[in-house]
Amino acid sequence: MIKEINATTRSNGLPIGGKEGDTTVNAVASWQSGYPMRTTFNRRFPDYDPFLNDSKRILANDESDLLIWVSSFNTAVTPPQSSANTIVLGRSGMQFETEPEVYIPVGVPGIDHEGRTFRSDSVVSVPLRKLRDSGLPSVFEVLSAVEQAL
Amino acid sequence: MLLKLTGGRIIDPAHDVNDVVRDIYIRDGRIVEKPTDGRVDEEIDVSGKVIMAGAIDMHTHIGGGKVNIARTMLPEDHAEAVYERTELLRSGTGHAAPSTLTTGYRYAEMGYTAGFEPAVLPINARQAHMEMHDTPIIDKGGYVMLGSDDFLLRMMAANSDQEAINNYVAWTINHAQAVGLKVVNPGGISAFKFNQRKLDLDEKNDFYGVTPRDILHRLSRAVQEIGVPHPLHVHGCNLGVPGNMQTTLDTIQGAEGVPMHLTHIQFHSYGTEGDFKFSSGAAEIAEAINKHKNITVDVGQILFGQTVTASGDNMRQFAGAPHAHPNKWVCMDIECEAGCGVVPFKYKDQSYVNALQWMIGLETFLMVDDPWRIFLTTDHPNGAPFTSYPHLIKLLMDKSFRNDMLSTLHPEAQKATHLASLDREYSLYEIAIMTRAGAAKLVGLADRGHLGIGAAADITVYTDNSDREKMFEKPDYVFKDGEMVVRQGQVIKITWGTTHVVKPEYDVSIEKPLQQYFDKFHTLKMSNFKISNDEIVDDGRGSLTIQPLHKGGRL
Ligand SMILES: [Zn+2]
Repeated sequence: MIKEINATTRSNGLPIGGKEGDTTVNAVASWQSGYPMRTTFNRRFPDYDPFLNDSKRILANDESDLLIWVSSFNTAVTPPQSSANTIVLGRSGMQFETEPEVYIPVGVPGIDHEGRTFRSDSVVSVPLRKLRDSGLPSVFEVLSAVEQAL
Repeated sequence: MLLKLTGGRIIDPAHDVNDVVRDIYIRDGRIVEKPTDGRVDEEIDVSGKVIMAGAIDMHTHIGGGKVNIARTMLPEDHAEAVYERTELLRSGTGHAAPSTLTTGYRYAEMGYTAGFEPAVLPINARQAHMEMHDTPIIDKGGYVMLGSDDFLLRMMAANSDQEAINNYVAWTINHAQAVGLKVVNPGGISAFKFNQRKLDLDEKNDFYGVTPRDILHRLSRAVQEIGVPHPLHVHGCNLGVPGNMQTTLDTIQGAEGVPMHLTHIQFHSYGTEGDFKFSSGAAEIAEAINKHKNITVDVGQILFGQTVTASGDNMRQFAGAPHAHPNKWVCMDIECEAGCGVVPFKYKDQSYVNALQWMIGLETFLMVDDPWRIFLTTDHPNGAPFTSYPHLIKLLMDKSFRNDMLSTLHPEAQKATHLASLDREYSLYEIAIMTRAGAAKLVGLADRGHLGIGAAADITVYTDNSDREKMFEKPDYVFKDGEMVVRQGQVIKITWGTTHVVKPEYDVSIEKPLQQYFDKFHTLKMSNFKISNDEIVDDGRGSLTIQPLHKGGRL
C-alpha cells in the first residue's frame, strides 16, 4: 500500500520490531553470512530456510539434542522447555523453571561491557558503553575462551 | 625477516617505471632498499612475472545499511554462490551482494588490496565500518555523504558563510571516520521527501530553495579548503535519465576548475537521439573530461547478468523500481540525512538500452585520454559485481575480443555506437595507473598504489598471459603489508587491513548549533554519532591510518 501511495505523493512506514538484540543479530548475520537468522551451518556453508531452521519447531520435534541459549539483555528471556541438553549464556541473575545443564552468567552490553546495537528499523546503530565494573564476562569473552580451550 | 622478490618485471607508474626488471625487498610490511650486506631471509623467484602494487577499488559498495538490505533481499542470488568454510576461511555466500568475509577473499584473490565504500550515511557510518571491519585482508575506507542533509541545507538557506560549511564538513569527516566526502543527487534526496520527482542542476529544492549547483559549489570548495586530498565525490543529478548528458556537461562546466570526481559517469552520459530516444553521449562527455583537468571520473561499467543496484539516490531508485528483476525492491527516506534504494536488476545483452549502456561505458574508457583521471569500476554491484573486473580489463586491452562481444549484442544498439571503430587497447601500464597509482593518488593514499621505497608492501604478481582475463583473475602471489596472502589465486593467509581516514581540522564552535540540531531532530545523541578511534580498532584486529592532508589544508 505504501508503495502505491508513493506513486503520486509521499508515504513511509516505520518498521518496529526486534528487541533483546534481535535486530543486531539479524544485521550481523546478514553481513557475515549473507542470510538473516534461521540459517544453519550444518553443511559447512550458510543454508537459509526460515521454516526448517525455526528453533521452536526443531525443539518441539526433538530434532536437536543440544540447545545453546544466548540472552544477555533480559533475565526474563529464558530458554523454552525442551528435551535437549541446554547451555545458557544468560544475564547474571537469570532464574529457571528447569535448571539448564550449564549456565554461564554474563554481563549486559551497555552496562557491564561495551558493545553496539541497532535501532529496530536497523538503520542506525549506536555504541553501548561500559558503565560499571562487575567482573562479569561478555558473551564474546566466554565464546572466545571456549574456542581457545578447544 | 627480509624477503626478496627476484627478477620481476616491475610496472610502477607512480615512479614512471614501465616493465623494468628489478628486485624488490620487503621488511616489516614495507618495501625497503637492498640491504647493504646483501643478506636476505627468503627469496622468491618471480623472473618473467609482471609485478604491480596491489589494486585499489576506489568505488565499491561493500559496507553499510543498503548493502546489507541488498544481501537480505537476494537469498536466491546467494544460493548460486555458496562458499564452504575451510580450515582457513569462513563460509559465506553471494555473487551480486556477497557477505563480508567472501568479499575480502574474492578481492584478495584478484590482487586487490583496498576498497573504498563510497556512500557512508553519517548517522550509520558505524555500520559501514563494522561491515568493513569484518571484511578480511583488504584495506578500506569510506566517503561520507552530505548534500541532502537538513543541517547543510538549513545552513545554505540561511546563507551561512563558507567557513561554517567547511567546519561542518571537516567535523563530519572526522567523526564518521571517513577519507572523503560524497554527494548523491545533490539536494535531490531531500527534494524527494517533499515529493519532487526530479531535480535539475539549477532547479530549487521546494523547501530550502537551494539548487544542486549551489550544493556542489559549496561542498567542492569545502573539500578543497580543508585540504582533503580526495576531491568531492559526485553522484550527479538525473542518474539514468535519457538526455542527462547535458546535466553532466553543465556540472563539469559549473565546477569552475575546482577538483571534482564524477562517479559512475556511464549512468550520466545519455542522449535522446534515435528511434529509441536513448543514445550515447560518451563522445561529448569524454571531450569535456579531456578538456577539464580538474575533473576525474570512474566509469561504472555495466556487464550483462543479474545484479542489484543499491544507492542513496532514492529519488532515482524509486523511478527505476518498475524495472526491478526479480520484482522486489526497497526505498527508504532516512530522517535528517538522506535516503536509500535497493533495486535488483538484470542487464540483458538483447535489450537495446542495456546493450547501449555497455557500449557507452566502453566508449568512455576508450575516449578519455588520461588514465590518471579515469578509474576502472562497475560501481559494484550497480553495474556488475566486482568479480567481473578481469573480464572488463580484457575488454579494454583486447580489441578483437571487445568487437566479438559487441557483434552479439542488440543489433539496433550496434548501429548506435562507433565503438567498433575505436582501436585503442589499454596497456598494462595504463591498467596499473587506473587501478593502482592513479587510484591511490585520487583517494589520497600516500603509502599505497606504488612500489617505491617506504611504500606498504601491497604487491600483486601475475604471470603474463595474452588472455588478460585469465591473467588478472588469478595472480601467482598477492602480498598484503609484506605477507603472502594469496598463492596461485588461493587465499593462504588471513590478515586484516587498515582503515584509511583523514582528519581535517575544524573549529569546535560548530558543535554548538550541531548539539541543538541533534537534540531537536535526531534520534541519537551527538555523542553517539561520533565514532571513536577505539571503535575502529575494536578488538585489536582493526587499525586506523591517518592520511596526510593536502597543502592548503590547515593541518
Ligand atoms: Zn556507487
